[in-house]
Amino acid sequence: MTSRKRKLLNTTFPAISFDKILLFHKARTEKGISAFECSFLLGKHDFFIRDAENPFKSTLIDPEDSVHLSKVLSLRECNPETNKFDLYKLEVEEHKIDRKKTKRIIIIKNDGADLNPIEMIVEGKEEELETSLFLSTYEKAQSYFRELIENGYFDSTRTALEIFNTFRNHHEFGPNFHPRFLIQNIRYFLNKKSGEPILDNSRTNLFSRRLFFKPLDFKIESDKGAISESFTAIGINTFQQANKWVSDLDYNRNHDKNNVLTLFEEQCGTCSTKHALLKRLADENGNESIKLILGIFTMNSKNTPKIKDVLAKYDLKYIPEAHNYLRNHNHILDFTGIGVNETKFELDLLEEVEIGPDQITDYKVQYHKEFLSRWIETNKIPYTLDKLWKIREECIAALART
Amino acid sequence: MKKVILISSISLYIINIIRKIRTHLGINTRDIQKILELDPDGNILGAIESSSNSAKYHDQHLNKLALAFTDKSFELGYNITYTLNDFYPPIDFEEKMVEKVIVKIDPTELGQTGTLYLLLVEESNAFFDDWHTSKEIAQYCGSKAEKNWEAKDFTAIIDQAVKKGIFIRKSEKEALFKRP
Repeated sequence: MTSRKRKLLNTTFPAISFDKILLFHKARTEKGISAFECSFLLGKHDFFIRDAENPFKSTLIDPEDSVHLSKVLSLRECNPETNKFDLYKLEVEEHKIDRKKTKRIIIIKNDGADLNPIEMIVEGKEEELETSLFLSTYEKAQSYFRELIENGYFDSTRTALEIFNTFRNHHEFGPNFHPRFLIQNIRYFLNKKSGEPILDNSRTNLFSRRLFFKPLDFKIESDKGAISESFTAIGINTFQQANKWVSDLDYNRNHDKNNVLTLFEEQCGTCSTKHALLKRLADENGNESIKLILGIFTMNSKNTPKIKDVLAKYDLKYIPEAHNYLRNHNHILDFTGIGVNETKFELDLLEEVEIGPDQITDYKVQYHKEFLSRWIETNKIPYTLDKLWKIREECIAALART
Repeated sequence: MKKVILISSISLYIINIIRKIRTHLGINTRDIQKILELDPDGNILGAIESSSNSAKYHDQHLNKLALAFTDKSFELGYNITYTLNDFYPPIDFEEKMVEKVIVKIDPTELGQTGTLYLLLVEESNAFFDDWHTSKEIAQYCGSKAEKNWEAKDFTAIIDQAVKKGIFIRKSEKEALFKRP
């Protein structure tokens, strides 16, 4: 490889973070795991590791990512030795090797630092490094991947590392398995153009790591019950289509919550009527994994900015509010249609209980009030239940205002 | 109406292990501000070790703390060299969001320096509101730590505490000590 262009630049970088990046760079290149493959298994964007290895970018590997990367790379420890320097003064020489490839030669210029140049290749996204790990084959990885899909493994959300570990724990792949063909298969099962788009990757977990799962779907059989019949009558034949229809309906209270077909008649609904309808649809069609949940969450000015003034007026940091949604295996499904972020919502949950679709009226109110009574007592809230309920109504009214 | 603060299990592990080590070494808020080169009047430790604040350590902090803890450890004769790995959880540690619960340290986990520091500074134990001899201090700390300590075990430690200003001596002639 002969270099064509040369560029000399200077920068500074937190010394311990730079040492950490070098430690991970050495480990991953020795194992032949590319920057993209590492980023993918970390569950971050495609160029996360490439950015972290770039001294001109501010991307750092935090303690959470350090432990995660050490799991990916099967390291015992995830930190370099302590460093007497706070900041490194770096001299970076960039050589353009070809159209896609750049080599960086980095020298630490601090007095007393190791002056040996550090070489790093800036990898392209699809770069494949030589490896001594066990690659297996694309076909074998796909065969096991299909087995996992068929066995319901992806009914729960999975991080890339979880899937990688499942492969490493399988006798055919083992602990020295290289993730290349696994990642290629995950991408195949996501690809809408040239693959089989069975998986969904639209969610991340609380650590911003990409999640992979098989979205729940089934064909609606019109003869299974009144709700199935009503859906098919308007041309909706799958559960996913039903989810979208429900989510798109206006958010408004229904006049008769006990009428199971009220959404079809009034063309609107709330979290309770919308999710009760979907639960009944799932029940009619024999799907038992879907659960209707009554959750109590901290409604505050952060997750519900419109109630900020009401909370301030009554000197409350938050008010426990009831919400209905669905749970499928380890994840929440919310089709209220008001932009609830299911991942963030989980952080605000105080308590949840599974309920039946006929418990969204009196039972829900009673459960909520009982929770508030306990909350008033435990937290020495200076309001009676009646007063708090009125404050809550004020919050709901503030929410309805545009 | 206490709002529960959730934090990553890894960050919480680091906070609690630092708390244990710094208590063991008798390092206080002001020391931490100095080690991290922060405003002497600030209180980063107060925020990090508060269950109602989501503040946490990052690697630059940990590097400075490891260096300072090593120096202190050698000064006290424990001769332990700390690295960031001593602060991190084991690699197989589960990543999840957890309530930020700061551990309560039991004197039985500590040596003489740590026990004296814990009772005197961290817990503001009322025993130190009155004047005591080294012997009384050794016996009191020993009773809390379930150890049989003598006055000579505390001579140097009390001197250090006086120099640091967390203890005062009654007079040149009277070797009695209390909280300032």
